Amino acid sequence: MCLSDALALGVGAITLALASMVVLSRNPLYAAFFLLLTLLGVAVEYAILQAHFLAAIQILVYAGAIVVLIIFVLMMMGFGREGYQGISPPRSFLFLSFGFLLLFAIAGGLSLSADTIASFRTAKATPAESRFQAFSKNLQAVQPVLIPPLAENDRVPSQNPATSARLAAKEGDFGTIETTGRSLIIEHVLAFEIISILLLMAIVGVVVILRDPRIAAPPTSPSKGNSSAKTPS
Amino acid sequence: MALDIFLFLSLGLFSIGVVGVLLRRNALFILMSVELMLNAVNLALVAFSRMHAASSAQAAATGQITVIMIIAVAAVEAAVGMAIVVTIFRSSRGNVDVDTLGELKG
Repeated sequence: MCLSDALALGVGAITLALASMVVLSRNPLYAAFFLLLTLLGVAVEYAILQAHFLAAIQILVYAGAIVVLIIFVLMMMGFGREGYQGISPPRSFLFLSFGFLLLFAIAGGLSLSADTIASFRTAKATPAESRFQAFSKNLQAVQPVLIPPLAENDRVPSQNPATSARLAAKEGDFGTIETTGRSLIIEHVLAFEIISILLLMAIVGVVVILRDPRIAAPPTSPSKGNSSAKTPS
Repeated sequence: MALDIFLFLSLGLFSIGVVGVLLRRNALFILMSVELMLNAVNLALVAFSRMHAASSAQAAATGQITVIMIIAVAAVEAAVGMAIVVTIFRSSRGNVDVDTLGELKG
């Protein structure tokens, strides 16, 4: 076990404890703060996995935007100290047992697949190489069947040979802002544009949902035949 | 680095999220639990993407772009969900218990 493994284990244990506090705490405001800490813990895990760009995005978007939105709504609505809204014991026992069933089912599947992967890599894994390298070596053998490698003229064209050399990302570039950003706006530009349309739809949708039906058309146009939006109230 | 640490952490987060969605009746807690579940999936994606990093840089980048997409969807989901919760709060005078909210029409 190397240092990063120990770090990942420790942070993971803390993250799990914080996540269970999100579900178990009585006050929704405390739950929101525990959610914030949980998301920071996940961001640390991303950083341990060397996905630094995603760690930054996680802190910016999740901790900076989503949790602030939740806390803002909580304080604006004054949910304050609402507490448990009465969970009956048989009901909570049922759901907790369902949760544990799910946990053990997926854990069993994971350990089974871990055995499979371990049998994959028995062949060549020298003790010096890391587990990730061993995994990927085995995956390299499997991968041409699953994902055919791109032909040379299928790659993204670029005039500058230096740029294309940089485009072919090496493993050391994993998760850097440059690699991920390039991939985002060159190869996965469709996903990028879909995100923008999705955000626009969300803005319009939230405004429509939250519009007060009592505030109808502007008073300057009292005629009924105008084209202002009709709100079902 | 061991992949299974991250996978089991992701499993734990997802299960906690599922239990939260089932157990709590306050709509705000349900939204927060859904965020936990989305985070668990993101963590598993990043771990697999790291696993693929040596063999194929494109596969690794695809995993990360998927995570960015999921984060954007989570932000949208939080915004729309909060809007719906606020609307329910207004129309039912402070009650956001999902068990008593049996019908959509206010």
